[in-house]
Formats: sequence, C-alpha cells, structure tokens
Amino acid sequence: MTTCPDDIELTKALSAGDPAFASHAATCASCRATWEATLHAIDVARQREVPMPTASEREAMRTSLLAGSYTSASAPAEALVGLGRRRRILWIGVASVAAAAVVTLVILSRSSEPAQGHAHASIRDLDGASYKIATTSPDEIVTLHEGSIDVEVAPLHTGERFRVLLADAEVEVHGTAFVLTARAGHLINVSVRHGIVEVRPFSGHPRRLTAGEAWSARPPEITVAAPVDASPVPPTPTPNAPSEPRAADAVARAKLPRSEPIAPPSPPAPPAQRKPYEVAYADAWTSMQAGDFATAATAFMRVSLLDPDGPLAEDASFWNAVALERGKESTRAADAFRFFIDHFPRSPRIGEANTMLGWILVDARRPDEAARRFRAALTDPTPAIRESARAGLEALAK
Amino acid sequence: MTGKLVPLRRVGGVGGGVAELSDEGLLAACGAGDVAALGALFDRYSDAVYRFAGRFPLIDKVDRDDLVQTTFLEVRRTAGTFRGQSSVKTWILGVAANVARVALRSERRQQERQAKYLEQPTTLPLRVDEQIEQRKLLARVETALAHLSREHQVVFILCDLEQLPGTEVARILDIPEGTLWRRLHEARKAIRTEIERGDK
Ligand SMILES: [Zn+2]
Repeated sequence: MTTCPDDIELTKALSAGDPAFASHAATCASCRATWEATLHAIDVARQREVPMPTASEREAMRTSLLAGSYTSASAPAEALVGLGRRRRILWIGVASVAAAAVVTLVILSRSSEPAQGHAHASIRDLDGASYKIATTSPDEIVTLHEGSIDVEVAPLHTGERFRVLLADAEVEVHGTAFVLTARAGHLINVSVRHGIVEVRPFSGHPRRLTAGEAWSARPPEITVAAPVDASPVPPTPTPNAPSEPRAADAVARAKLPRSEPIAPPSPPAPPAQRKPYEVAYADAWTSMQAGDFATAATAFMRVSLLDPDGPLAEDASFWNAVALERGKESTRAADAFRFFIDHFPRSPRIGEANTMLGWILVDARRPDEAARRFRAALTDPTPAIRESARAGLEALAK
Repeated sequence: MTGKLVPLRRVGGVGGGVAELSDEGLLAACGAGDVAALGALFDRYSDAVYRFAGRFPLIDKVDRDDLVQTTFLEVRRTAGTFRGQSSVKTWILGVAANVARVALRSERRQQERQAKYLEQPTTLPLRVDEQIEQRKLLARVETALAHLSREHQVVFILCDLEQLPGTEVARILDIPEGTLWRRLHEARKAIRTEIERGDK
C-alpha cells in the first residue's frame, strides 16, 4: 500500500489487522497518528465499567425466563413489540434461600379416564407451598419453589406431557408414581415407585429412572435400589487419530507443495478422559479422511464452539475452512478463512490461509480482495507459500 | 449452500445432557421447545448478553434486564432461523442488538437520564489527579457514545468492544458491509474527537 487509505479502508484495516496497512503505517506519520488515536479511543471505551448482575439476580432472570417460556409456549408466537414483558412473567422468586424447608411432592398414578382439555393433576397444598400451575393439558407444567404439595396425575396419553419445573431441573412424568424433594427451588431427590420418570437437571446429565431407582443431587448421583433397565453403555469412541491429515491435498489447489508434514492431531486421551472438544476434533479428522468434508467442517466448527480459547481452537478454525473449501463450499470457506485470519493473526498458518483465500477469491472474481490476501502472504516464511501468493498476483494481472 | 448446521448428536455419546450439546444442537432443541436447552444457552451466553447490554451508555438496570430477557425470549422464538453463518454467540448478540435497536429507542428518556448523569456532582478523591483525569476521560467517552444514534452505538459495541468480525456483524444486523464500515468509522471518529477535545 503506497497511497494513504481512505476513511473506510482505514476503518476496515484497524478491525482486521490488515498487514498491508500495517506496513504502510510504519512509514506514514499521518496514518500512524490516526491509527494510534483511534486505538486509544477504543481502548478508553473498553475501560468503561460494565455492571454485571449478581448471582441471585441472574438466577431470578433464568427462572423467570424458563417459567415464562412455558407460559407463552401455548400462545401463538407474537412479534417483538418491545420491552416490558419481564415484569409480567417474573412471578417466581428464587431469592429467598434462607427458608430451606423440604418440599415433598408425591405423584400417584390414577386409573381414571384421561382428562380432556383440562388438568391431569389434582394438587393439594400440604403446608402453604409456593407453587404454580403454569400450563394445562396437553402440556402441563407445575412450577414449585418451596413447601410440600401432594399431586395425583391421571395416566397420560400420546401427545400429553406432565412436568414439574424447578429452578435447577425439570422432572418429566411418564404415567408413574414417585417422590420428589426440593429445597429453595432446587431439586434434591427423586425416587420412583413405578413407571418412568425423566430427571433433567439444567446443568448436568438427564436421567431416565424406572421403578426402584433414585436420583440425588449430591454424590453418589444415582443409587439403584433395584436396577430394572440398565442404561446402555456408551459406545467407545474410535481412538484412532488420522496419521496423515490431507494437508497436501488441502493446499494443492493453491499449488503449494508443503514440505514439512502438518502435525497430526495430538493423540487422543483414553475415552474416559477425553473432553468433548477432543472427541469432536477426532471425529472431524475421521470424516476428513473419509472424504466427508461437510461433516468434517461441522465437527471442526464444533471444536471451536466447545472450547473457543482452547488448544485446538486455532487448528480447528483453520481446518474448518479447509474442509469447506474441499467440500466446494467456496463462499462459506472464504468466510471461514476470513474468520481464521481475523481471530488468529499470529498463527503460523496465516500466510497459508491468506493464499488459499486468495485463490478462492480469484475463482469468485473478487480481484481486489484476492490481491490483498495474496499480498499479505508475500512475507510468509515458507517459500512455497510466497511462491503461490506471487503466482496468484500474476494470475490476477493477466 | 446455506443449509442449517444442526449437529444434534450429543457429544460424548449416549447419555450426554444438554450441557454437552453443541451450541447449534442447543439452538435446534430450543427452537423445538426444549426448555432445558434454553436454560443451557442462558448459562453459556447470559454473561455475554448482560455485558453487551451493559455497554449501552446511560442504560439503567431495568432496561438492561429487560433487554437481556427479551433477547432470550427472541432467541427461543427465532432459534429455527439460525443458518450457521456465524457462531451461535455472535448470532445471539445479533438478536440482542436487534432487540436494542427496536426497544431501547426512547430517545427522550435517554436524554433525560443523560442530563441527570451530566449534572451529577463529582465526588472524587481530589488527591488522586490521575483518577480524576481517567474519570473525566471515561465520562467524555460516555457522552460521545450517548450522542451517537442507536445504530452507531450497536456497531461500535459489537465491532470494537465485543471485537466481533465486521463481516459477521454486517450479516447479523442485516446491513450492507459498506454501511457497517461507514457507521463504525463515524462512531470511532466521534469518540476520538471527544477525547481530543478534552485534551485541549
Ligand atoms: Zn498514510
């Protein structure tokens, strides 16, 4: 870049860390001054204090949101009309943690005819309990905060549901009898006499309980009194990481004979120790090797999403772009390369990414950005990448 | 291809809870009415949305909480429209930005609050000159931000404070990239000018 960029170019360059502009600013005092003043302004703006909610404020919001989403689920979707709905659905309080009375909810199966269009459950208040019937049949929700209630549930038919919602879990009934205990809105224990109950803590594994089984919020998490139906054992994930990711193929389009081998993914830990993003990463390479680039791209993206700051995020972001490119998803591949370049400007693969993006843009007939991307790769330490970038610029000149 | 990416398979195999679903999986489940999924999305991203909302100049707690709640209600309502063209976090912040554009537009209320804010007597430890200078600097930025249109505020907050890529921001706000860069330029310039004015 020999001439000074205009306002818009400068704005973009500041956001994307454009190396072409950086080299221009190194020699142009005027642009450097604007650059530094702008960075200073942004820096000051970032220092403004942002008050965050307390834990209990956040919890109150979460609860009202979940409870509110039940209440409005049966209503037709309304268009956004503005704020002010919060107060209407903020009817359940969770701030009072002092009164930790035990809540016992007994649900008994009843053999009467199914109710039609009205509640399946009849609820009796045992000790001034704090509860609410949020919705009625066919998707009945009872929210419970404090106290004891005795509930009788008629058998449910296809399409009908009955659930109890607490601050930190929900319990779904499948025609059953069980005892449920809560404190200050938090689920403590569920034990099943007969039928099936599904316990879904909002921050843990859901669990399907059958007769004789119990769920407890504290370890041991599950005590099985009489195992009726053991959960299936999770399949052992295939631990074989690909020995040779197709790095050479990936850059072949850019005519880049890559000399050094690309490091294969780190050997996965034994299944029990593998983190979700490691599983996704291994899955991605399995798909890549099988030539299933769409699945690979999704899995690489999942790695980034599961652990955006983790050790595999940079690699996954790059290979997500490569997988899209190999799957002929040019537009999305270009976006993915831009994302990688923006987010990992210090990656050793930055030149490679710029070059590959450059070639995609040549095909897409976007010569300006293509030239910019190729130029950014001209100083890459790898000769083959510099060569490819030069070839790209030559191709554009024709 | 603009197909929706919905990896519904639970990471980690059988028995994985919503806590282990991918963001896209959570959104899909949320769109299908799964309340636990909405709860899990809230757990993952309420921080980001609170922070985003709290960055609007002169916003009070009631408006901030309204913005956060309406955002997640909108996330639930429109989860099915996610097309995988940005990260889920960016998409949720886009929802929040659009809520803010529609809902936080009571200009008069904002102006009243702004007047109050600027009238506030300074009760600072006078000994610490640097603190005073810093406080003045922040107040100038607050003022400059408050004078921007809501559209400019949104762009500045997303691009420069949340540091999201401009191309993604343009997409989630549904505005041309050129418009985005122009607004960002104008917002930055206004803040820069206000800081420089104070330096003189
Ligand atoms: Zn210059």
